[in-house]
Order: sequence, then structure tokens, then C-alpha cells
Amino acid sequence: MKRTLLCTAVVISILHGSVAFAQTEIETRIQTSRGYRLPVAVESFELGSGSASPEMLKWIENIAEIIRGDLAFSGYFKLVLFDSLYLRLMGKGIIDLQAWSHMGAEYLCRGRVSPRGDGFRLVLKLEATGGSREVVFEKSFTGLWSKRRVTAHQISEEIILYLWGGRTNLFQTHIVASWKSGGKKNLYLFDYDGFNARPLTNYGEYNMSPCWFPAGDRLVFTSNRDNNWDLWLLLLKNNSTTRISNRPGLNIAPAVWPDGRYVVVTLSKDGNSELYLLSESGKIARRLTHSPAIDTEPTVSPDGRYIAFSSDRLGSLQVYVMDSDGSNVRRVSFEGNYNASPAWSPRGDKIAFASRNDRGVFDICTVLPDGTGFTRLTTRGSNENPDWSPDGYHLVYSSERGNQKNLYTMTFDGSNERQITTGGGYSNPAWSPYPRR
Amino acid sequence: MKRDLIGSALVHASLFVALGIISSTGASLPSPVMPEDVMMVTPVDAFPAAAAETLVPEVSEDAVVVDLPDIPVPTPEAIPIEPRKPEPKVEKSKPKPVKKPQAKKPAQKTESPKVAKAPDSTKKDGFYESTLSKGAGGKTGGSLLGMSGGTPGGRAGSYPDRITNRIYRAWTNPVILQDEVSCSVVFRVSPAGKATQIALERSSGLPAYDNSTIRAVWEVASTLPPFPRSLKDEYIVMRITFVYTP
Repeated sequence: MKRTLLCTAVVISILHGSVAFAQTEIETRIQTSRGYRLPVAVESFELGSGSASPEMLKWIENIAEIIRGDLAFSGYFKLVLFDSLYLRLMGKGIIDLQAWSHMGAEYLCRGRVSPRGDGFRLVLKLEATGGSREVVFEKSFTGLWSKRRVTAHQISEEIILYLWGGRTNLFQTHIVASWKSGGKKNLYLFDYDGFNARPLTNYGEYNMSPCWFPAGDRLVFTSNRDNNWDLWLLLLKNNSTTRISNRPGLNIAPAVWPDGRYVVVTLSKDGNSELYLLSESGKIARRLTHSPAIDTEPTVSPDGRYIAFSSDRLGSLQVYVMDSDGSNVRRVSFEGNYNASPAWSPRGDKIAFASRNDRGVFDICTVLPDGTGFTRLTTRGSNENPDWSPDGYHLVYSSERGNQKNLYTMTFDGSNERQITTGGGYSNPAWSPYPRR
Repeated sequence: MKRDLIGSALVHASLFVALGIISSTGASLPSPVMPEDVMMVTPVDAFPAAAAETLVPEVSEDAVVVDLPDIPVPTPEAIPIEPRKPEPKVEKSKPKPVKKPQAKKPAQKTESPKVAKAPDSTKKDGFYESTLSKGAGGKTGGSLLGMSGGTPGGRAGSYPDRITNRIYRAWTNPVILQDEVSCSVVFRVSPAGKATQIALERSSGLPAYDNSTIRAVWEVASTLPPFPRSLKDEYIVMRITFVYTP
């Protein structure tokens, strides 16, 4: 060994000659396209000062659970859970930073909750488990027990802010979807993670295809409540509805213009499904398609320059893109013989859609607006109706697995898939814009 | 039978004598030499196997979820469907004995037989490259990988490449994004191979990404190879740009 090293050293000196450097500066570059989600752990919070009822103790644990759920959902983190067996094998008796480091966590959240009447004060500390073991931040939060979910989301956002340099506000967003029960489909509003379901409609047989206005205060959707597929506007503040299009035939599949001034919609008033541009009040501003085939399911690019839609003008249903005035139609889906439900990413760089695969079921796929870069994101179940989160990092969609159709989310690359509803009957999800603060 | 026993005894005796001679003269069977840059722990995958199995996201049911008596409560269940990603090839590559450089062909050797192999083994996942600048002046060297490196700077590049390789393998990129991310870390290396004054020179805007790069340098800070004899500097300054491309 020594000989080899000596030999190597001699050869190196021969290679390099006797070049002497004075304070040499070297620039190097390391590049990768591989990433691993940051392993983080959230310890169960301790009880601080003040007494707590058994119910409060349950709520304290609930806050930690909500934060764990947020971080795991975010796509930025890999949640490391407490592993008592591992610790026993390692002979560790104390759960400290080093123990968490051994369990794989690079950051650890610890908190102390002090009950205060109908609310609480939570002091949260985020620490690095290895290296410098620095405290990334320590901050105190106050909240009401009844609103602990909101406070927990705020804490999650704070963690994202400190580790990822920006607020996501994603934990404050909502998802609207149809839920089928008793033969009727009604719209329900959920928190982004599927919690806090509340009904928005309770009339007609079918209420579906919701689409958010950019302000996040209203929706447009399709309902057959008056025995015709009409277009309705729904104000969230009081669930009031206004019919904006009840032309003969179909008034379906609305897509709101990025500035909220128009709605692109499928009308069949003349016998064939065509795309039209309507004002918010329902007045036709422009007819966009003129094809004897079906043209439906529009989605508008975030800059308002293009519209993607599905059409069977070449036989099978495929995704097309056209300029926003209806000109320059070009096909962008080429894989599979049935592609539908396009959704343009808020980033503008991708179009998600449902594509029928070789097994005869649907996968969520993405394609670049020029038709290249086809990527299949799902591998299980039959997946439909994709919609993007406002940051374009996540997708929500319905997926039928085991005879139940539920809502799922995943990140843009198809990873971190999470089921957010149970029981089945869910379809047509639409992710809200960021909340206005 | 007796003859066989005598023969066997003679054979064993001669073997013992031969072994004694070998040990007294210091001769030994060649043992595989562990290349210096693969002896260190290289935690490219930051998730220990035991911990990875426990990374099961859980979302328990909230106590006040639904206020609709006739509606089944949607109870989110985080279902971990993402399989554990395969380890990068570089992790699996076995240590290879150091190739003895041949002094007669210096031009070929400047391609650094030891270091240049690392990027090959990680071609699919990433790469590193080096450029040299001397003193306060401009750059004098070119890329030290994939180039013959005819300049003195290029020749010296094998050492920075070894350092960069170490850091590359110690780094766990925590970013999975749709945009390119980069930051720069600067530090000094002493002749003994110790990195000091490790600092973030240019932030990516993502603290977790910045921290991961600093952490990677810290991890190998005291185990870097010492200067080659030809390098007479008091210290060298290394500036590494870490780039993530989706």
C-alpha cells in the first residue's frame, strides 16, 4: 500500500513537473438532474405551561399531524417517521437530534404547545440534525383550537419559507369536485388536502365541470338542474348561483379566461359542439371553432394566447391547440387513440390530459404545447380530469381503483401520489387559485 | 505408505521454509489498493435503508372535518406510491485498484485516469468539470475533464478534480423542480487537504439547496487528499458551482 502511494506520488510529481502555484483559484462545476426529497421529521409536540384536557392533548397531536401531512404533500420533503425498532437496534435510549439524524432526518421540527383558554400558543423550533445543527428558526404562533388546522397550515408555510425561500400559500388553497351520491352529482369544496368538505350545490341531477375565476371568489359550472345542460355562475361567499347560458342543447365544459373577463365554453345550439367565447354575463363574444366534429373541453394558456381543447375532427378524440382567436389549429397529442380533458399548466409550459393506454384505461399525461415531450405520469387505475395547482407543481385528478373513484394529487413528474378522498364517487376536480390576502 | 509420509513431510517443510524466507525479506502478496477517493463514505443517497422503510406519510383524520351529516366524511389517506428510487450507479461501483500511471506518456495521463472515471460512472445523473484561474488573473486552464489539458493548469487539474469528485459524491441534492437551480460555494484547501472558510458565495434562493451544498463540503472538509508535491501553494481557493437541471 505504502509503495503504491509512494509510486503514485512520484509519478504525479513527474507529470506536474515542479510547477509552483501561488494562491491558485479553481472553479469547478457540479451538475445533476437527480434530486432526493429533503428528509424532515416532525416530533409530537410537547405540552408547555398550563393544563390541558385529554381533548386538548389530542388536538396538540393533531396539529403535528397536519404539519406532517402538509410537508409530505408539498413535494419538497420526505417525511421521516419515528422508528422505535431502529432506535432499539441502535441502542439509542434518548430521542435527540442525533437519533433523528440516524433515522435519516436532516431537519427536525419540535414544538411546545401551551393552552390558553379557547386557544393556544405554540413555540416551534426547526433544527438541522447534522453538521452545524443550527436552529433554522424558532417562532411562536397563536391560534384557536377550533382553527388549529389554519394555524398548522401557517406553520407549514413558515417551514417552507425558511427552507425553500418562498411562501407557497398552497396549503390555503381549495379543490372543488363533483361527488356522486344517491344518483346525483353535487359540487363540494375541500381544503387542498381533502379535508373540510362542504357542499356548494344541492339541486338537479348533475352539477359538474367546475372552473375557478382567478379571484378565487366564484366558479362557473355546468348543471342540468332545469332539465337542460346550462352554464351557471356560483359565488362562494353565499353559494348564490346565476345562470349565464341556457341556449338550446349543451352549455358545458367552461374554461375561464386568465383575466376572468371571458369564459370559453362548448355550445351545441346549432346542432354541433363548438367552442365559443362568452362574457361573464353569458353574451357570445366570438365563435372559436367551425368544425363538423366535436370540439369541447377548452383550457386557456395562462398568457391568454392559446386554447387547448379536445376534438374528434380526425376520427378519434385528440388534444389540439389553437390561437385564442380560433385560428392555427394544430394537434398536440399523438400517443394513444383517445386523449381528452386537457388542462394547461399555470406555468404555461405543459398541458396535462387523460390518455387511454394499451390496457384500455386512462393515464394522466403531459405534453409540451408544441406537441413534443409526451410523458405518462400515472401507472395505476384509470385516471381522468387532471387540473393543476396554482403553482403548476402539483396535479389533482380522479382515479378509479378498486371500483371506487377518488381524488388524488401528485407532483408534476408523477411522483408523490396521494389519495385525498375515500369512499368513491369523486370526479371533475378543479384546484383553486391562491387565496387573496 | 512410509514413502508417501516422508514425501508429504518434505513438501510441508519446504513450504514453511519458503514462507519464512518471504516474510523475512518483506515480500508479500500484492493486496488490492483502495483508491483514495473511494475510501470515504459517500452518502449520495441520504436515506438509510432502515429509515427509508419508515418514510410512510400519514395523515390522520381531523376531528372537525365535515359538517354534513348525510355525506361520508372524506378521510384523506396519504398513500405512498412512489417507489424508492434506485441508487445511483456511482454508489454501486466497486472500488477499483489504482491504475499505475505510466510516466512515459504524460499527455495521456493528464486526462487523469482515476478522476476521469467517476463522471463516466455517473454520466446519466450528472457530471462535474473544472476550470482553473491563477492568482487574481483570468482563467488559464480549460475544462479538465474530456480535455487533454495541455496547459500547466490543466495538468494540475487532477487534484481539483479529485476534490470536486469527493464533494460531488457527498452531495445530496434536495431539489426536484421544473427550473434550473444553482449556487456557488467557495472555500480554501490547505496543503494537508483540509477545507476551511467554507462559505456560500452565491445563493440559489432556496435555503435548503444552499445548505445541502455547504453540508457536502463540510462533510469531506477534513478528509480531502493532501496537495501533490508539485503544488507549492500556501493554499488553493476552490469555487464550486452546484447546478440542478430538471
